[in-house]
Amino acid sequence: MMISDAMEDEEKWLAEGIAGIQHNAFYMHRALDSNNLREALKYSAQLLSELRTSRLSPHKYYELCNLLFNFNMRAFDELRKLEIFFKEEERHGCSVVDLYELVQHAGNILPRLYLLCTVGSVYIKSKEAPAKDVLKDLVEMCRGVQHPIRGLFLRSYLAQISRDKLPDIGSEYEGDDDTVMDAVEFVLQNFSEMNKLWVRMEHQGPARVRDKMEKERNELRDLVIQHLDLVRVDGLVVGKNLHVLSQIEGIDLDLYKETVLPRVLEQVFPDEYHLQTLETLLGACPQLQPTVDIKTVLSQLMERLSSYAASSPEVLPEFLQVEAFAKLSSAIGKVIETQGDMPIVGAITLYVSLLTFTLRVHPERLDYVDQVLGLCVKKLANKPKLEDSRATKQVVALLSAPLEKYSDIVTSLTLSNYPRVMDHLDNGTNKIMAVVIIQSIMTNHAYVSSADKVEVLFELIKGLIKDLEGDSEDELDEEDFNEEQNSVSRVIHVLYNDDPEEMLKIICTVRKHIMTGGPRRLPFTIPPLVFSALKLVRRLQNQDGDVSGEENPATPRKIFQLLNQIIEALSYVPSPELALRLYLQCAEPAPGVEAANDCDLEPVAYEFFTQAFVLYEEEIADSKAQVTAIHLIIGTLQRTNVFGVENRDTLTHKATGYSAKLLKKPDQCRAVYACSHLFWVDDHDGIKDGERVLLCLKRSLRIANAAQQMASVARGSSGPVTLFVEILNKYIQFQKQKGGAMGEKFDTIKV
Amino acid sequence: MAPKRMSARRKKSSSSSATTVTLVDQELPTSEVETGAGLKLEETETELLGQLIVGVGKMVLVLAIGDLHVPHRAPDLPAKFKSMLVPGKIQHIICTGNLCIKEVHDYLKSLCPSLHITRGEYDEDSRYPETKTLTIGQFKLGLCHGHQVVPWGDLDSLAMLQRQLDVDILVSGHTHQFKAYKHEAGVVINPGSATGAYSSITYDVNPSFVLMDIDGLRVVVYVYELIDGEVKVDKIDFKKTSTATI
Repeated sequence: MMISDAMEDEEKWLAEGIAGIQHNAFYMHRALDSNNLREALKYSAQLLSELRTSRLSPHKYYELCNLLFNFNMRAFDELRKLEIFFKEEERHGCSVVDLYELVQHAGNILPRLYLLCTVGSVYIKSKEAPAKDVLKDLVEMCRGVQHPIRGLFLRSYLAQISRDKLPDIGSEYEGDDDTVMDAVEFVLQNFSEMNKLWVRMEHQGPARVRDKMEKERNELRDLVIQHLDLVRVDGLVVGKNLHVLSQIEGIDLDLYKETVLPRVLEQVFPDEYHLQTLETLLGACPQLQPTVDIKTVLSQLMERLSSYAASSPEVLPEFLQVEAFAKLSSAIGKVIETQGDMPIVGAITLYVSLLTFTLRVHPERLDYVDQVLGLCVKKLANKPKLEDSRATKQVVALLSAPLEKYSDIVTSLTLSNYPRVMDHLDNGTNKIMAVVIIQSIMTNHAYVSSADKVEVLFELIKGLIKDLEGDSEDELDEEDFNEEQNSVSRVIHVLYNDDPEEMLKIICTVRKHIMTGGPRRLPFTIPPLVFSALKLVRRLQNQDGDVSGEENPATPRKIFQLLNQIIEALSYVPSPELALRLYLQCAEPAPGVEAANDCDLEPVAYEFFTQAFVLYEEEIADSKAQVTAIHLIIGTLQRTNVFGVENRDTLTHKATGYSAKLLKKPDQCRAVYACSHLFWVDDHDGIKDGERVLLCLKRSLRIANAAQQMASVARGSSGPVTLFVEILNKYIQFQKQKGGAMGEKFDTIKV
Repeated sequence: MAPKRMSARRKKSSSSSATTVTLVDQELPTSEVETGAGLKLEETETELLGQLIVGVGKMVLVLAIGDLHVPHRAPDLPAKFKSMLVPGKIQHIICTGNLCIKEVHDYLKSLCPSLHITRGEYDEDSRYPETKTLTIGQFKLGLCHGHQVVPWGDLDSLAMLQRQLDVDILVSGHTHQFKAYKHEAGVVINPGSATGAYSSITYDVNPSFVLMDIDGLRVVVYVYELIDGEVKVDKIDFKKTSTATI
């Protein structure tokens, strides 16, 4: 049959139903107006018979019902009119007890039960019988209708009319015998019956198209929501109610998530009830069918409880009292265990919620946090790397939560399971997480102050430190790579301890890790480490006294040895220019440190210079780089005052020699006159060799001359005289400093 | 010909000979050093940037900054400096170099698009020139990192460079120590290290930068120095004689 036909038919049937209702309603009204009970009952029963149809979809059926009893209670509907009539005894001269008997004579069960409910409502109001008895009677009788749609609407009507007549606490129907528990009994019984009908609807008629059924069920959802309103009886309902809910095996995902859950968790009950009934509630969770979205239930519950905890510090003892964490934790464990096929993302989502709960409720219990991470590790145990992007996202959320909570990053470093969780991330995400960790350290201005913690930190960020298995080089974007390495470089500065020995340990730990980084990373990671070590040297040199004590492991000498090895790694990269600069940086003593203070300094500095020269000779070929390098060598050498005559001669000789061998004449000239400063150091005693100064200046002058000649030959112009002016400037400068002791030989070489 | 050394350094740091403020103004009666201003400004330094902007219409603010050495020697600019340096207030940035990475370049560029940089020996960007000159208002400014000038930080040698570049104000770095000298008709400024980076030349480096307020023939040099977590400001006034090179 064509679908459009079916729809047309439905419209037709609905129209027929409405017509039937209107027709009978007309006669019922006439009977009511004339206070004719018999007629009224007759036509109302006929009226209600229209609801016996099974040809309509729930939606259409709903429309039909709305004519008779209005779900929104917005107007007087047919049954309301009838109820009013029943209530006014003088109009029909029949007691409510008799009436209750009378309506049971209606021929068909459906009209009979509707009428019974209507009269029942009046009956309760009259208080001629205890409310609980009437309610119990009604809810039992309604079992007579087992057709899902008809039954659901009937019970829905029952729920509606009884809504204001429950023997709730403080209600006028609360009597000696009528306790709130009766109200609860009634509501839950009705509810569970509805659910049974619901389930039946699902399994009804295999011939029916499945999605059509789904559609119908969706339509019915409105109705259930109506019903759930009734659950709002009293807080005491909670435990029982949830227990009952859990036994309703057929609650399916949509229904649970969209109707029951928000109602139960968010509106119906105050938080403290949840807390106190936690055990019952959680005990029920694993029993739920796998189709029930239990993780959302639990997540929302934990979310709710942690907000409750956050609302006031006074409630925290309650959490401790009921051992909320332990209970939640074990419940989650059970749920995950029993629902073996739960996707990994679901389990991790649960852990994230539990962790959020823990961080909010028990921020001081780091062991709890670690426990949660441990659970996650266990869950992920047989999956080396996560591939599901949603699960990855959840793991990132799991790992980010402690970082956000504890401004002191070191706290997170004590979580032993943290790195183990990180291991399960794919390489890309692992790196992102590592950068997040570093950023968190940097924004909190936290120091990582022990070698052990540094070790842990490097374990966490190892994705940035070295190539991980499965890293493919071509995937790496250079800019991203640089950014990552720069962040590693930054973090090295906050690995710090005031105690020199611990600091040395830290430096050794950092060294150990960064040396695994390979040639691409070393140029990023070595400089900060070198400067970190140099700062330590300076600190030690600044300490008076036992600097060179034998038993003290942290001596400048030892650190210099270390530095030598560290920088050497750069020459294999190769990154000679950087290595050269760092060697020179090490060679240069701290201001104020005299050679006499530390007899080790001379050989150490000499070694660094040697290394720098070797690099210069062997590795630095670019002429521009040579110019810069030679200036750095001269500048450093000029400031280094630890050398004896012999070593100094060797080095200055080398420097001058290389200066004169630069490619461009002007560069040669400038480097050579700069060398003149090597022989005349203003503020140190000893080095004031006027002869050699003059030799340098003369040499540079010769070069300047040669440069000019070359220029005139090659370009046909004598070129600018700036070089001569510069040399003259130098000459005057020295002249001034030593008061004319330099002689007047300069005059002989005029421009 | 002796250069006049003027320094706003009030610090008693170890080897620095620039601890006292010397004022030799026979040749240049217009120059002055306002040491008192520093103390006065300490509390209101953050407003200073704002005030200056509102102040006079024609003046130009030039930020002189350098030797950040990020991330080799320091993780980042001090937070206090970062909060002071906001986009849109500064007309030019002159940077002596050693940034060292692109991120810092981008940061400076975000503060002010008119960014002039010379190359420090650790800069990864090899396109920065060794020296640079630019004219701002009535002043000609020269920029050089300074590692090329031996002995490092030597005023005579820097003055030579200043003459060579033919500039009124030479800004150089490398020593990580703030200095402002009056020399002949010009000024030699070292803005120090903005991150307080380790230096083998200067013992205890405080983060510092310089803000120059150039207005007609007058330039006011504000030095911002971070000492024990507090930003201190000093102010030095320079006037260019009208006979000088324009």
